[in-house]
Amino acid sequence: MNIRPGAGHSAPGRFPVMQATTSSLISLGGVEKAFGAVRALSGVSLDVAAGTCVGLVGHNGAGKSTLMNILAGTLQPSAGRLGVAGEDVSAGYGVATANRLGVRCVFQELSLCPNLSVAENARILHPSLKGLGWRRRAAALIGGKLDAIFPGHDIEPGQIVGDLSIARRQMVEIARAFSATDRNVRLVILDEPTSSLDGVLAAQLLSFVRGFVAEGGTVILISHLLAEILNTSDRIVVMRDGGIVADRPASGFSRASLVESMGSVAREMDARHARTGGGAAERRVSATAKRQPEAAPLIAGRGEIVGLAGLGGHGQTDMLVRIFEGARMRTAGVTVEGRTAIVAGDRQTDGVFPLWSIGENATIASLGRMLRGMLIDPDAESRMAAEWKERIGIRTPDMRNPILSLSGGNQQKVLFARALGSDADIILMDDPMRGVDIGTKQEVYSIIRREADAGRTFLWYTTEMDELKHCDRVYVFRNGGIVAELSGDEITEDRVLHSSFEPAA
Amino acid sequence: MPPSQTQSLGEDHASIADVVGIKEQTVLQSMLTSQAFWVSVALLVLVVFMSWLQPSFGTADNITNITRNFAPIAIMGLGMTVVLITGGIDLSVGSVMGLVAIVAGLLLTWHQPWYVAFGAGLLAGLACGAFNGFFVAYVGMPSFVVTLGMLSIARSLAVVLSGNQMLYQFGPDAPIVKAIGQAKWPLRAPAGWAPHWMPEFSSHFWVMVVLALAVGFVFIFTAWARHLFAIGGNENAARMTGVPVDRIKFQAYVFCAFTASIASLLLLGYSGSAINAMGTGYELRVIAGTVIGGASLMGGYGTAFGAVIGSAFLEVIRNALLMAGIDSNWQGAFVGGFIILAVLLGMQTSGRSLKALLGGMFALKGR
Repeated sequence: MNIRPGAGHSAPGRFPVMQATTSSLISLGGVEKAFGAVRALSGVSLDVAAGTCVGLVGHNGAGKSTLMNILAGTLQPSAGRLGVAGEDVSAGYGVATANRLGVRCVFQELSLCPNLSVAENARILHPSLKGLGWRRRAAALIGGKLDAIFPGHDIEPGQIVGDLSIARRQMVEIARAFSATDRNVRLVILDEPTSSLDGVLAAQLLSFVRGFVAEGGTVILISHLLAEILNTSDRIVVMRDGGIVADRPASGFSRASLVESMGSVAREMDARHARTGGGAAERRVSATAKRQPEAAPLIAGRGEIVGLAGLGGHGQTDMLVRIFEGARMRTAGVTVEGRTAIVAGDRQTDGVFPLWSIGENATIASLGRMLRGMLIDPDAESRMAAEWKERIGIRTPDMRNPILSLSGGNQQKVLFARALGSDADIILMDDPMRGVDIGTKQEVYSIIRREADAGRTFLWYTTEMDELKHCDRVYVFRNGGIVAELSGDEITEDRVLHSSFEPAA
Repeated sequence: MPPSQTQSLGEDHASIADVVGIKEQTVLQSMLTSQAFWVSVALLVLVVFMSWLQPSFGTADNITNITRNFAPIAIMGLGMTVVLITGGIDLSVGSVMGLVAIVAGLLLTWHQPWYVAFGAGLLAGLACGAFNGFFVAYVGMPSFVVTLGMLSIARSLAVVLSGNQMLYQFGPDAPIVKAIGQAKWPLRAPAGWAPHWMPEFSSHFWVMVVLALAVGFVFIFTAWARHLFAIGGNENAARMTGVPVDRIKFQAYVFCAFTASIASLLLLGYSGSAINAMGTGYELRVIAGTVIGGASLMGGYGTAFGAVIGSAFLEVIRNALLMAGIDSNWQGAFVGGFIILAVLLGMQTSGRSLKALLGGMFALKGR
């Protein structure tokens, strides 16, 4: 649909003539992207010259992936100019155009079809592999690329992708992105390409990237492993809060200056509450990470707000689920004293009952307290709904309205009401503020503090640095384990960031 | 006026309108958005029209017939509704009927008392339900596959146990068994007090009424049902909220098999014989009835009233076609058409307006 007339499967001769005057392969001007009320990108301008490797770093939610999705054509920008190879493609840019122009992307979530073979997956990207014997030619194409990037690999092109390990799928995905037929490869975006590769494979990939760049190709490399970025890139772009905050040759950065530019250097600190009790409080939770059963456990006491920090997906959610299950059945390494409730971060999949009213969504975890005999007492139920509508400020005229009539932030408040209104002593929060506006956040922060002062325990996984300031103690997670424990004034962005990344090699 | 002020004024205004609008809706909405309500209206229209067209349709005897015919389907529909609410399906109910009838029938031919025979039949049915529930809830297999397997297993067991014979020599308790299946109330003169225009409702009908009231009561008032609906609405969220998802799913399949067993025993008593083919194809009639009554195949929604009214609707159509003298081979076409029509109207009531649907159709045509 987005292909311009005559551009679809045309011969190379019908490509628009490239303008020799510009050396930029990619040229972005004032690109903006908003998801509802959330601004993911606020006017990003970026030029990438052909034959370079650009490293892109930034904390979770900085806008890296959104920007790359726009380049790959999977997201459309809300505003801004987009140029590829000297061609202005701002209007109607999509995956098809990106493919035609030789822009390839290896996403974090792998995008191979698991039911097809390696060779068949390669064919999807290359429509010109057709006619008799296409399978053999596709196998040769992907096999050759795998040989070039990962010499000594033992992947057969005939293998079904679903049978491969995650690392091998990643290798196939990377090799496919670099493969060329009549469709040339100009730019390859690698989003955390080494996250599931071991050291040897990662080194092979990065040296291939250097070679590819030396031959005139272009690579944008996203990685949380700063050493990779520093050693591989010619130039490093740092993003924060949807904008570019630093853009210099790689030689101008050190590990320390890179970390510093990712965090906000100048920011006001909240006055920390004076904590009573501290670690001496009555212990409620003690849990070791599954990956490191021998290490010191995560401890949380009565009245404490304990943060789980670190980069996204490094074992924090697993820890919360482990504690939730540990409260219900015997789990090795987990002791939980008290009842637990979870506030889900992913509202749609783990939180909201979409067919129900607001009130029913709020009371589901508390039905046990509202029984008269075996029956739910409707008065008790509507009393609880009305009480929490007031306490947490759910903006609705009537709690009997459907939950989906609420905005996302208010739905999230209902989930808070569900957990806080239950009899749970320990509230587990799985990055619950995603997509919640700042006003709601402030309201919920103060409720959490009040409830903690009243004796409840909070375990709070968050990827937002500002929220960690509301915690009494913070555990930093990396690769499924706890790597640091910070408390009180030690909880600073720098300390958390430094612990989130691997120690300098 | 600064723009921010205008905006906030506008919001205030809108919220007042919302309050009024929604208050008005809740009274009407609960009726008008219910598929079961519209099916009831359609049923009423059909009954009035048929009574006018064909005087023999509205007679007490025909109503006795119709209510007895759909009652077993509706009884199973209640169990099916419970399973559908969890987001599952039970294809085995027809075969479970066959197995229950043969187990009970065998014990009767061995001259066991009727309560031993019925108890054994019930146990066989519950065992089938427990099998389904175990593999769906605790092993995590798709309900379609497990109950499709049970459809085959239970029927095969029924054939083997019966030696492929019809069982009818029921021993000393045969009159009691018949009485259970053929009982009617109220009776007309000369045996009873009821006037001649009143239908004599069968035991099947009364069992259905009692079960439907019980299930409806449970659905509306108990925490168990709230958990049941939670599972169908969002299973992940239910787990995260601490709902005992596996246990409740298991119970849903056991209850569904229980209703199939009850229906089977009533039919056994009515016919006074047990055949291993009893209930063949009933699973589709039961599912059709519940879906017409508004239960969602996606889970999370269903009512006891809907299960009854949907089954009644199917039977009345069948009966009306016979009475109107239309070739009985047309039944399938009409029933199938009404299944699709009912669900189409159900889509309208649950969010997508019919206008939008029609718009979509025209858009398709335009392409």
